Amino acid sequence: MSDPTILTLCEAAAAIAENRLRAETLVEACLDRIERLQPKLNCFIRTAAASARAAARAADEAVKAGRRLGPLHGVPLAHKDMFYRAGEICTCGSKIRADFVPDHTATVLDRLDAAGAIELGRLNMAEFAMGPTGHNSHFGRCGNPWNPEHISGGSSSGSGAAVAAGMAFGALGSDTGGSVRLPAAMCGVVGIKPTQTRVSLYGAMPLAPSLDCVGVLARSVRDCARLLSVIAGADANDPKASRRAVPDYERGLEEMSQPGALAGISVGIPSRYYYDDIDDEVGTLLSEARRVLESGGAAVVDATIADHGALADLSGAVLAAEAAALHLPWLRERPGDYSDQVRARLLVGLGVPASLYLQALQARAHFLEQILQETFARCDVLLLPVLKRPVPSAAETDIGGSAAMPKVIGEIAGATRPLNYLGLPGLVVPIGRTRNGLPQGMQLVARPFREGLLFRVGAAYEARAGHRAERPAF
Amino acid sequence: MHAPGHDESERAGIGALLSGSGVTVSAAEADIIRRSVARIRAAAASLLAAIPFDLPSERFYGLLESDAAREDKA
Repeated sequence: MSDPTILTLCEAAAAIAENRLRAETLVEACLDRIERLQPKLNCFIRTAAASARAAARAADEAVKAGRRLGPLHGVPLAHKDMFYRAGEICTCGSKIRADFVPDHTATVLDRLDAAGAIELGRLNMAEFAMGPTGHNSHFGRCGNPWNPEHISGGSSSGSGAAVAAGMAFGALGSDTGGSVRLPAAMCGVVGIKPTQTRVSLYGAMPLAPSLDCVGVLARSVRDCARLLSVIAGADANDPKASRRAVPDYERGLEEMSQPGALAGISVGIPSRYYYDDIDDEVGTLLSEARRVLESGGAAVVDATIADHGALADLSGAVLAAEAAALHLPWLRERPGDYSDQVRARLLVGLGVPASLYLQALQARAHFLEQILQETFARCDVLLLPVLKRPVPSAAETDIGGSAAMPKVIGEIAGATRPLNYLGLPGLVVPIGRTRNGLPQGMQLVARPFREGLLFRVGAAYEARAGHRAERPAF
Repeated sequence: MHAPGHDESERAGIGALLSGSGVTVSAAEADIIRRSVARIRAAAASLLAAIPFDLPSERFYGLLESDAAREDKA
């Protein structure tokens, strides 16, 4: 095999399990790609080449010995640098935690380890996961693999860029206001923000615990389904993690390429907010995606929704207030160790009245009930944009903590924040590229814990649209 | 439309709130805070007036679970 990094995660896992490909070969191919592309893209905060090579050798020995293998046996992954591993530095993309060594390991990492995955290193991210562009004044900006002069999206910037560039087969990210979905869309990969309580948050750096969600990014819908199957589920260390059984999310995905696979599924298009003032090119790509879903048998219907623009602002209020409370000691003692933008955004949280914060939390149930009863009574999934305009350049969005900052960030995250407030799952699937050569994605949204439905609809789209084969050229 | 001096008094109020937190805030940051909080207040004014008095925050998590359970049965 000339370049094994072109495989999907599931193809790579199958090739290793069937002894057609050695994990060592795969790890070396990824490390080679990382070495070559890191100067251009700055995806990694650090690599773990020695431990990855040792793990690959052990994985190959296990295959030879005929030992029972996990679903990710020998597959190289890399993760946003905010998931704790006992005894190893975890910077959280910050200067403040440059030397932080946690004493416990995140549940999601334990589960990936148990499934046989190999960790290649830690990925770049927005400082403390607070920023939708991929800028980071401490570790440098992460470039978009389709054009490094453009943003990769954030806050899981390295996760989106490294997966798109073939440096890793999948990555963990976190999503508090769009931080998995934005880099997935901007880098042209698949990403899922699951239902609020689907995945344990134990050992993941908190940003705003009421909204935080661990998600995954990979190059195909099936890859994301496998990763979510591994990390989801109850956890004694996180009382909020749901005890609901985790389905086999891969089941039925193969059949989604069959004619009429989406028969009986209705796709809702909201009549307000999400499509207001959308860029023509992005609107055209979304219309084409809608037609592809119809060609698979789906019915497209109008969907009624509440004022999600205001919901995005309430989501921002909860995020700012909770983040400010967590960061208050450092804001007092080490204000100069934050970037201007992150400090300014944290300070906003100190200005949110406690009564308003509590009202915003109280109202979540009301708005969730409303969307379940009114919107999802008429459709199975919503089709939404992720970003309403083509991926901007790094220069356009290098706004620091200036007066323009709230507006720029609000525009980038305007279509993603409401989902965190409502706790609903959202799957991002690539839908093509705009004239500037940068990718766009659509956001498919469903009722709570209907990730399996999202994967099926996403797989049906993917099988018909053919964007999965697209890869940035280097 | 705010009355003249409204921004001034709001700015002073936010300044007092932040100085009580022990955090140092520049004039530019105070302006960002004032504008962001005004936007949040506007969203709250349009959405939160109709929220039932007796609605507990915890219902949100119960609703996530119960909706999924209901769908399972359907």
